[in-house]
Amino acid sequence: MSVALKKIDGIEDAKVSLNEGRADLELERGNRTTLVQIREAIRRNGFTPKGADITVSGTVVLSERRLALQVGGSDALYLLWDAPSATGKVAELGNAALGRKITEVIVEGHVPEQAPASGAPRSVVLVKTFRVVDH
Amino acid sequence: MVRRMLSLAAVVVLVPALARGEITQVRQDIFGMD
Repeated sequence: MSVALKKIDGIEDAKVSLNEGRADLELERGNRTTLVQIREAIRRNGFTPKGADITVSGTVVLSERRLALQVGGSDALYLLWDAPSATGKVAELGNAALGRKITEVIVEGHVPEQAPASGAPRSVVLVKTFRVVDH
Repeated sequence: MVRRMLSLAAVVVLVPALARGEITQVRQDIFGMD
């Protein structure tokens, strides 16, 4: 499966451990890859993608009165929720990012598995930590 | 003419800002370990 994952445009390296049930991916700078693409490739290879820990950069925006991360390269939008272990992190992120003209943030968090039937229109990142990048 | 040039400059400045952001690392569970 690592071969299939490396074929996705934007994937720099893919290490798959079947014993641990995990795929570790490094992505190229400036990529436009989405988590949906990665999960589809995993499904095509006969596996079931579950939750993912992710590091993602983007711009903090308001979407339907909720904080979200707009990932410009791929145009993906992730709603930002507090991870159970990091309550208050999203409010902290909002205070740090909103109101500044152009702010990029790097977020580390968990993207839960979402069954297609769940009706969730967008991906959610449970924010564990973040860093504001000043340009 | 000057106004048009200014608005074009604004577009040039805004496009890179909007395109900012990418996934850099993913650790994806593939078996149902949630």
